[in-house]
Amino acid sequence: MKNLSRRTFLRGAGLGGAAIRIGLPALDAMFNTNGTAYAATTHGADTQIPSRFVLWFNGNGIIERYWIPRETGENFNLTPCLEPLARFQDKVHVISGLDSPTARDPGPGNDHHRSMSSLMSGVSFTGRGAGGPSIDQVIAREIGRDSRFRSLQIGVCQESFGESIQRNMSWADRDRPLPPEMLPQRLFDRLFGSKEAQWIDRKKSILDAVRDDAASVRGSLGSTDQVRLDEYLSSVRDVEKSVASLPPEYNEVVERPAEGGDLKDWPRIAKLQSDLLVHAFASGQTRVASYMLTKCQGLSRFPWLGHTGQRHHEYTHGAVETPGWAARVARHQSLACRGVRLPVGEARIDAGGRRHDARQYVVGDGP
Amino acid sequence: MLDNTLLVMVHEHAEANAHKNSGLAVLVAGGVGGLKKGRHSRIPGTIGDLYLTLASEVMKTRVEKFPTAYKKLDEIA
Repeated sequence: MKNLSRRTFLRGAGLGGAAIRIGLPALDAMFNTNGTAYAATTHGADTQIPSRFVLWFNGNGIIERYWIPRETGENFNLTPCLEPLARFQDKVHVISGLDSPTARDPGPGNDHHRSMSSLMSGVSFTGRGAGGPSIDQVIAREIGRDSRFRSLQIGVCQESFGESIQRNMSWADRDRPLPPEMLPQRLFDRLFGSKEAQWIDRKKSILDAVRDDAASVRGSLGSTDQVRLDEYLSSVRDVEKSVASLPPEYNEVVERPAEGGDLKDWPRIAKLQSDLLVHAFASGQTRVASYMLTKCQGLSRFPWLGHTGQRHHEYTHGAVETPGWAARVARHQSLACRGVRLPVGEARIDAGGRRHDARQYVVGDGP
Repeated sequence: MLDNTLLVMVHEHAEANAHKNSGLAVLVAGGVGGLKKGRHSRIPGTIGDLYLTLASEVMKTRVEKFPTAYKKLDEIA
């Protein structure tokens, strides 16, 4: 079995001739004989199994008594907001007590603008932007060079007062935001190349476009890899169907919705965006992502919990004292966004030299 | 996949009503590098200290500085 490049895409043409590309997950055929690194089939390609970085953001702040654990060390009790992560308690490090000093620098904007800038770049809000690159972009500059996307910026909730420092968490430099893609359909198109209008209305899948290439690649693989490929393409089909089944109002950006508007089921969007991020990582298309659940000074409502009377901003400022709402939001976010179970992961070698699949659950996002 | 991913979850503020930006709570997760896990640490550092520690000691990039980063945090890695 010849070595397959980690960068292999399944290629095809959509109905209108648009290029379709579906990235591949890690397969045995891509590894060297030790299974510890990719076989370098492209001159200069990185052979180390890559690490990835995700910066996840939620706006407005927390209610500390529901979030921060009372105890420190390894035996800490999960608070209501952290309780949905119980299965992952041994994989997380909860940190409290950190300071964001430049948020208190005198200068333009309100507390939200200044906090956001300081949190993302460590630099005071300039009145227009974050004053410097955000940490995800600092890391992307180092590790994103060889990826199809240096980084991906993903978002969920749209509701915002509208200024740049409120709408964006990723900054390439002092004045240049990198806006999050908030529409699953558009994120799907970026990852899989199906830019044809109304592809979601058609009965055909983008997998149809790459059928010949998929069969050709599959034919060159060993049986274990064939199973992996089949399961992976099946998961692509699942996420494609989930995107295609979104109601039309979920495919448009409306930042300042009408007073009775913005009643979307945004855990549904959050989960789909998480699934797409996992696919982007699994197919090696990027190593860095930012994920903006709600906006800085965000205005989202919580219709699926029955909380539509006020917006996110008012709830966090105690305008409506609804006991435990923070915990319920966090729980629902975590349950809805617990992520997708991918059939393949990065493989590992045990002491006997045997390859093992890493079948991992991944947390898409949390409280 | 979590084994090869570093996830950092931040909120805009600590106590929201006060727009508090000291005592921030951050969740870090994943299996990359020497990240210490399965615990809660109260750390008297800056968010910049955390970012630099993660970029340098956990992700092992060549990042050597970040605004408001003054020290590496031993509690993390």
